[in-house]
Amino acid sequence: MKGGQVSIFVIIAVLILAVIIAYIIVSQNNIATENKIDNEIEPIHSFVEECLQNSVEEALFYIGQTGGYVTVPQPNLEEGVAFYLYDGKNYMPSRETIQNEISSYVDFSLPFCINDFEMLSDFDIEKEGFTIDVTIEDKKVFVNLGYPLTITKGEHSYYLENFNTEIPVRLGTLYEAIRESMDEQMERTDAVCISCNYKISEKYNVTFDFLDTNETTTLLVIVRNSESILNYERYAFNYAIKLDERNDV
Amino acid sequence: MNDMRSIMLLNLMREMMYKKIVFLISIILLLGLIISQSYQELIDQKKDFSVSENSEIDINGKKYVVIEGAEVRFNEKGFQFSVSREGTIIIDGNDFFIVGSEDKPAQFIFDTEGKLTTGTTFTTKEGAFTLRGYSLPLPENSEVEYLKYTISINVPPNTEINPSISDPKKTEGILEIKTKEKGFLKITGGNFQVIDAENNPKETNLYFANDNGKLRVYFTDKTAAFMNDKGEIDFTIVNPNHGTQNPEIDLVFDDRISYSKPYVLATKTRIGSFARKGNGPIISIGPGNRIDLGGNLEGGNDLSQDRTVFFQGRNGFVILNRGETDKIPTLQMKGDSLYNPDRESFYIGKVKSGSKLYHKPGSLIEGVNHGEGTVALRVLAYDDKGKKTPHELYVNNENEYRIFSEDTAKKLMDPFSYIIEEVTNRAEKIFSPGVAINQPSQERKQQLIQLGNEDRKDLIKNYLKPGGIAALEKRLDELYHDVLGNSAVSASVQVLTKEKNSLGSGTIVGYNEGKVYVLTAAHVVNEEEDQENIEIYLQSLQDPGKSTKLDKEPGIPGKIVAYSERLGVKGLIAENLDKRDLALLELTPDSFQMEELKRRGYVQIAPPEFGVNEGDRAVFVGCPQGNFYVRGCRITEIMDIIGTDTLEINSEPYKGQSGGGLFMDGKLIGVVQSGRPASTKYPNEIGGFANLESIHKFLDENGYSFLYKFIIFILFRKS
Repeated sequence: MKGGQVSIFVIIAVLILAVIIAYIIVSQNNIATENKIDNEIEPIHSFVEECLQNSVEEALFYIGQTGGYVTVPQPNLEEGVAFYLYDGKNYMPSRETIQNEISSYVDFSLPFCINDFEMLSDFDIEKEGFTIDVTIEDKKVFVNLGYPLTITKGEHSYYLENFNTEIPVRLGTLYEAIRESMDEQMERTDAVCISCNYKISEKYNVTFDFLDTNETTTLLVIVRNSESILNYERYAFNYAIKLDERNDV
Repeated sequence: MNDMRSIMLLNLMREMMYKKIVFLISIILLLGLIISQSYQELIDQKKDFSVSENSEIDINGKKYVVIEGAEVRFNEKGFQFSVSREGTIIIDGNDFFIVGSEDKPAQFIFDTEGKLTTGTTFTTKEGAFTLRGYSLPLPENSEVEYLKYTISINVPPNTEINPSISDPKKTEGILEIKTKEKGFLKITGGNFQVIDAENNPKETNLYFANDNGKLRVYFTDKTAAFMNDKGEIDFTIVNPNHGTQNPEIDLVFDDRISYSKPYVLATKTRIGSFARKGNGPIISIGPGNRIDLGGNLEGGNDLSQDRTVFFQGRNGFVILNRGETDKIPTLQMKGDSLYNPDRESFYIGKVKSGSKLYHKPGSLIEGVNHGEGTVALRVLAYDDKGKKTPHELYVNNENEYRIFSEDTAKKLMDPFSYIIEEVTNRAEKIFSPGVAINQPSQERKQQLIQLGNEDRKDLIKNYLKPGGIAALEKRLDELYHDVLGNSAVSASVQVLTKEKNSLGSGTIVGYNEGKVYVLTAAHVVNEEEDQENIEIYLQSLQDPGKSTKLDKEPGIPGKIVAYSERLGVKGLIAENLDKRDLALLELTPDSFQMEELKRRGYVQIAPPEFGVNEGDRAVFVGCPQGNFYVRGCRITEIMDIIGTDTLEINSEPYKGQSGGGLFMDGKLIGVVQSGRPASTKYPNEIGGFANLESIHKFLDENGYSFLYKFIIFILFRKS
């Protein structure tokens, strides 16, 4: 093979490579990245995040009513509120458990809201299974939805995967306040230390409401933080305690 | 001469007379001496004798004055006087005003040393007595009996008894004062009365003893009370040590805090229970209390049988102090003491990290009769060293309890004023409570405010009392969420017509292409005059329960787009296919108002297949005079016709609720049209509504079927 022939082959190879690179660059321009959502698919992004937000808000409301659970375990109050103190034992769930409960609620409810993207029938959406990652922080609840979507509209294709929502409910603060309250509670399981709880309420800027129930030794506890608003109302986290029977002190 | 003789004769006679007198006196004295000498001889010989007349006798060097008829007898243990008539016996310088009779002679039994002892019994005339060193006035007919260490005195009921110690060294034994019948003893601290478990008076029994020169007063019965002069209970005392080896509960009428025995403190301004060790008396404050407890709210004394407060010093004390002017009374607690308002318990508990204030639901004090509520108090706790803990508990007369830091408490004029004002005047006095017990949340209170009086009474009677606050909250949840959904309340509006200036109510029932629709009753508006002169007002988000009109916000303009007039004849249940008393308004809000509307949502009109049956529970919402009300009711009749007042409920809507919605399971099922109060002729009140059939027909005829036939696509979503 002559040297001139080799040069031609090299030039052709370089050209082919250039075409391939150019194609890749052009193709990539048509795929939305995480950082920049193409205007074309913004309705989908908003729709999913709005569904996610609604779903997480529902989850927060629900777990607030029950003591941190979607499926309330035993022992629980008839009304479906988990006991944190029962038979002298501490049943308060871990932060991770509550995160998982929120996650499971979203996992259950999100598909109903998304409803197979029927509201967005202009788009051809190819979807995979989703993952939910919930983080309870002091001042907010952060939820990441991993939901790979390949969207086609006309001749263009797009890709979306990460959706986030932050709910400004101070669940982490409420959790810590309740945890400290339960620590005090375990020191004496036949009564509620109201002076201790007052200190905790000042420390975390929360309020504790202890309410009578039909049963003398059972109290429903409602913990609120004035800066946590959900659905235009102060967010409430409920749990129940069953004090030890004791006729005298 | 004759005169001289006469004078001499007269003088002689005088002299003889004087001599006779002197003679007679001498004879009497001689006889007395003889008698005395004979009594003395008898006494010396320890021979029994009767006293023929009032005489002073000397036995073992002690002088006694006994009255005529008294019998003096001797035995190996000493001697005794038996007196069967009224008189005054003097024993060792002390007067005994007595009444003896043949049937019941007074008996004075002396030991060999001449001290009155067991067996001495006598009935008194009124007078001041000194008995074993105790000085006390006794009324007539008191029955005194000497026992070995005790002098027992039965007095008429309601007698004033204030013994004193005349000489601490000579005062010995115990003085037991009993009423002969049911009644009190008036003592320094008040009218002391022994009672039974039902607060019925019994015979009263009280003891006095010499405690190193100070008079000790105590009782041993199970239950007693102090009564005021009007006969009302000041406070009752339950003796926890009754039936034990140490059943005494002392009564102290000054501030001797260092007293070692369990005792009741009863001064003009304080009532306390003390027990340095063990259980002190259980005190229950009555309506006639000296502290004026319960008289600080709403001007009257609200401490009736329904409102109770108990406390008990345990290894410490509880003292209830009269409040200063315009301030609620204060309760001070130390040790393991208990404060038991209503059926709640508060106490200081010791844990590893120190003394803390605890709450325990349920009564920790046995054997007391709790009422249905408590009274307003400020509660202070003290640790083992007597230092006040940095928290103060406040209690109001609604069975609500809040704890504050000392600093916050100092700033509070009246920590519970907001509760009263919230419910009645709805002033915005709200602060963070930190920790509250039995405290309905702010949201719940606002919901309660929105309810009508009857529903509020129903909730209190059927939920709050049997089930506590939790049951109340649960029921409110059912009313506001389960039954209504949030939107039924927030989608209800106040309707105002400019021309008629009349007020009514309505419900946002849907929207289409930026237009918002409100369903109301035709008689709220006027088709001709009000065609485009209608304003609607929403429920204030700042002050739920109030119309934004009261906030002086501008109304949202609207016009009538569909109208079916009311039947001319006033009355219920009128069938007329053409007259349905319904109107549909179309609102034209500005962008700001549109945003506000979006936040409220709307309520769907129930579709034809929606099952509404007689006997179902429902709620109706309306806004009379600027205040929104949510009221529960039961559907009593649904007519299978189209017209006016075709659905009835068992409650009369308020004036101004016309046009408001009737809701079930979050859907609108009727529109308020009329009402009739209960009367002698009609014992049950009635509310008249448009039934679903009438509403559907009305919308169909006017081209607004989409308001109930379709789920409106464009939702009001949060922007």
